[in-house]
Amino acid sequence: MTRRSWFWVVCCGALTLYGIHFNHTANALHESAPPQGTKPIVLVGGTIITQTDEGTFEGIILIQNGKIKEISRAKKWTGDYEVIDITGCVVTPGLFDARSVVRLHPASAREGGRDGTLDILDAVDPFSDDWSDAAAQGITAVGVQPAASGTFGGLGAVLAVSPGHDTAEWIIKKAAWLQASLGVGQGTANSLQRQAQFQQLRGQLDAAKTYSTSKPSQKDPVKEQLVRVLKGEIPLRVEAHFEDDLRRAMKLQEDFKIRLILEGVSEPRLTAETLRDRRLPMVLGPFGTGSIWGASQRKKERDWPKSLLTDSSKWMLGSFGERSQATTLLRAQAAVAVAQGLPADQVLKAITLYPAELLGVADRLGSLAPGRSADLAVFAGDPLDPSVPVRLTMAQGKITYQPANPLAAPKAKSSSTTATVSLPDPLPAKFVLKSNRILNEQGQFQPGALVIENGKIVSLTARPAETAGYPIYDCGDGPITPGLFAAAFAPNLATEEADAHASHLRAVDEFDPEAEWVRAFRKQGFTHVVLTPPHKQVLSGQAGLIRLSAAPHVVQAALGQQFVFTGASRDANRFPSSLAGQIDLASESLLGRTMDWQLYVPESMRTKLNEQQKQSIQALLERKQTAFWVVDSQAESDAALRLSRAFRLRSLLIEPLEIRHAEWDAEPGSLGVILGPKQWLQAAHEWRAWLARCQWPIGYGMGTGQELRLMAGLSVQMGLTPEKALLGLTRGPDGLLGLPEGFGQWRPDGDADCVIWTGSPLDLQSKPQYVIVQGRLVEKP
Amino acid sequence: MMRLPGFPRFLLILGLAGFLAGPRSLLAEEWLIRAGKVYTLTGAPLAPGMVHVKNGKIVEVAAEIAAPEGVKVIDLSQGVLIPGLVDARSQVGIESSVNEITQELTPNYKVHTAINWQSRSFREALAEGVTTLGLMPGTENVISGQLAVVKTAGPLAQRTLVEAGGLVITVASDPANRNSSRQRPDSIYVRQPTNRMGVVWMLRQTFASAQASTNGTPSVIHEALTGKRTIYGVSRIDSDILSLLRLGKDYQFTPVLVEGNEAYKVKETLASAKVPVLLTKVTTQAGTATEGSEVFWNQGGELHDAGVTFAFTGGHLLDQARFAIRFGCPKGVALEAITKTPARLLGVESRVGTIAVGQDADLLALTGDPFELTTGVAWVMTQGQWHGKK
Repeated sequence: MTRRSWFWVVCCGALTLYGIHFNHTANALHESAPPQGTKPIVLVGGTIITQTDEGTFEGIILIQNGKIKEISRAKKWTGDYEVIDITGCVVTPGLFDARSVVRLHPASAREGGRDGTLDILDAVDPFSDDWSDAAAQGITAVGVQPAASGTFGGLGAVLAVSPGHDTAEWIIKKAAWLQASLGVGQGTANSLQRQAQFQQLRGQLDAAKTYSTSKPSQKDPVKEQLVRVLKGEIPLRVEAHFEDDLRRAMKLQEDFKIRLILEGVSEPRLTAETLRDRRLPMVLGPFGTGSIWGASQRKKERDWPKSLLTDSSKWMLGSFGERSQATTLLRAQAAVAVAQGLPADQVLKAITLYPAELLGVADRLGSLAPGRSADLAVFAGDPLDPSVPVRLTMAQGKITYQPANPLAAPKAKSSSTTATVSLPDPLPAKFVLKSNRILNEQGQFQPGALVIENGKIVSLTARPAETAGYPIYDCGDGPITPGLFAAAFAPNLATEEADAHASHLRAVDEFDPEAEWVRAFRKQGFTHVVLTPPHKQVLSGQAGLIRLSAAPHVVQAALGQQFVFTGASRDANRFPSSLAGQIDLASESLLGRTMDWQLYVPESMRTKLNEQQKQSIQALLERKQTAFWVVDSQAESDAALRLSRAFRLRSLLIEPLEIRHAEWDAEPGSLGVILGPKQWLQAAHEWRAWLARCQWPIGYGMGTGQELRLMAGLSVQMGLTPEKALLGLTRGPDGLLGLPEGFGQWRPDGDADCVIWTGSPLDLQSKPQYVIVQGRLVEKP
Repeated sequence: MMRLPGFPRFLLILGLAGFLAGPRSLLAEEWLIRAGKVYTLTGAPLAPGMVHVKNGKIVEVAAEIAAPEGVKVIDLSQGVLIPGLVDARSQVGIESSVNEITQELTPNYKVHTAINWQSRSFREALAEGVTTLGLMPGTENVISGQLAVVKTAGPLAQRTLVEAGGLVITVASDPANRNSSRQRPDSIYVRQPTNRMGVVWMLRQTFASAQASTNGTPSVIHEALTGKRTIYGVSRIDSDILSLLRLGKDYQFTPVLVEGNEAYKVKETLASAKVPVLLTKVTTQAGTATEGSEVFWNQGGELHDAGVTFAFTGGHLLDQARFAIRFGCPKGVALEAITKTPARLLGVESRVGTIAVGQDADLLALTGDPFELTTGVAWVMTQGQWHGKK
């Protein structure tokens, strides 16, 4: 009896805790879903991309009872409507991620099956709140399905990206297709195994055919679904990547006359032509490379997916997310697709109209027309430019995202015009580059011309006429910027793991100019990178500035010392293994303590290394160099800020995940932040709050060139001024890195480094046309 | 661990203190609270009673106080007011590991540097009525480090009572467990100790060498042995407790016993050595707890009868007090064991633990009798800052 009463005590305690937790969650939901009346709504002043025969026009949209009542060019309406003014904005059908894991329970997101018994609706989590991050990016619907693990997995569904704990409110179409895969998952390494998998799949379809013609005494629910596929009622979505698997999938279509949708298709090779000619519907993705996309990457040919598509092909873009955060980057993936050469209007259809048509929900979603569900997104500019903010998202007639203080109205014209110029290779010794959009020192674009002589800048002028006789290359609207700059990057370098104190190491000593990552950076218009040491040690060594495209590569070998407070430098085999220990080691080192060397280091060497360590710390204390702090959590960044202040250091926080509560009244010039992809992937919800608050100089780092450009674009979307983002991309956190005078700017007699773009570097749709380093072309189309 | 010249360390501490002091000011709200009953813990409860709070401190406690002008009056009606609870041994909010496991002796390890002040567990502790926490490092080291005493809520600058206080040592098998799997010393990385005797030997060696070197900068160990820092010894089974007492006798210190699952078995010895106990939470699931210690539900009553001072620790403090009362602990003693006694054992009794003039205004308002299972927390106050449902 007494034991039982004690049990109840514990239970009550647990309930109280649960209650606290639940209240927090409920509040969070309440904040993200704005209250809305039942009054009908009219959207006024936007440019409407209907994706119907009506085309694109400026007009109004009347919304009533969750449906579009009327769309018209006439700017008048009668009746009592709540007016939402979206002058200057662009309205599209709500965006649709054809392959997502939003709303799925994280544990279920990677689960699949082999016998077709699964229904993805059994994996949804009614209490998940990941929909709100997706809604904030204009996404209103997602396709979800069991993970691919060979042959038939089960049924996929279309879900609305909207609030509510009642699944019925946000299931748009259940059992919308049957998911299958060939050559994916375990036991598919060789072609024989893949052949066997195909035979199994075929056998199941054959069995279903027999089942449908005979009169079975007992209903088989799995076969019933296969029969629906055979009758063409629902499509079969087959994930396949290799040539042989793709051929087999097409064979299935020929033999059984099913509606086939191919998914993935990353290495089609010779089949590409057949696929293109047959205009087979496909789910394609992920576009973009790097960790930020939250999807596993497969090798793809350079012309993928252009080789698969014609202008009349119907295809869907999927984020291929392994975590729901991937869906928030659907627009960015679309932008990368455009940068790879796909027509922008087709790409927009691949995330609106086509998935709705191909997955059987076109009567409700995918286009804007009277009678359709009110699923739409309003963008303050080009929908495919990830730096453009979302003004409003509406799913199933409900407003799912509407920022309380929308950013300033967009400029009259969207900047996504593509400009091209053609330069001779090699360039002459003396020439003039002219453009209507040259980046000035304030981070704004203005008309002007660069006069270049023998690899050096002569002048940046508004009147190129003065330099008569030099060839003038007019880039038109193509922007010209200094080379982009990654303010921190740690490639997977070899590292000595023995001790936690390695302040004598230099990251630049490991630089390999032929490395793959160097090429990837150059392709994205980057000319300089701050190389930082790996994160295994608490004092992990010195960061240095590297020039990517021309020797000598090492510009400045020692910019500062890196301190790592994250779990990466905790090691149970040597001190420290805890945060308190890391902080202790860092502060004692700043107070002048050097390494206790292991026995195997000779005495003469020890003295030398200790001398180097002392110099490195002394340079920090004299503010000649910068302290780089690698931190994740609140306590880690608090500790970094505390030490930085106590020792009056010049500091950079690298990719902090939680600094919302940081209390920091830094003197100007003593603190900056490096923004990186990990922050988007793990703490996207913190962004808006702290970017608005962040008065510190920023730079971009810790990702691929494409990721860093995306981060810059996303920070503009979240409220940073484009000027600050562009300066962050070209000059980094100004004054905090101790870079050479005039770095990232054009100065007379400075190196003639510049990048000619097809559009703004903040828009992932644009790409560098030419990269010029010291007056020579290093990248060209 | 590292050794530092005293002066730069002092500068560092000054710098840290400067940071903590920050620009945020005291919440200067003034309150007058009326309750059906006020347990002051300094004498008989007042029924009814009133408490006047100003500038974060208690300025008056009496049966009846006339409301000064402009003061906010809270009437608890039949509700009961007790001091904010003190949990003397907790690990709430310590980021990453609570043990620096790479060394056996980490006397300079301070949990205070690694506290996540925004941690949700602080809010959970506050919701249970705990206003002061003794944050101790873990038990995987022979000498684990220095504890911190902090508030569960309030402006950051005011949350630290003790930044680096008493020294936590372990007289149990925990520090040996990691190493005992090794067979023989075949590498320079082989770790000691590998058993209980080794733990005690390591403590003896450390204490002896600290006593021997009295010149030079005073070490943390030396401070502990000369009574400038309290030694908190974690032991659970009776023989380990006796080992701890023996160490205390040999090196002239009076420890505070921590956890002490089998303290009831050696209660007379504890009483005569005047060693107080910070009891770990009693388990009800099985007859034995950590290290096979035998569980006894009337620890509180037995220890009290023998004359041993004790406090309850480890969360759910009100429930722990109620449980102890049910099995024989006097009500007043149980209440002291979650307020006044732990405050004293942490050395912060001048700030918290009682409702008296000059104490921090850390108060816990309950909906009724504190010892009833059905009584809940109405609101909590830390240094005059009110935390409750608006």
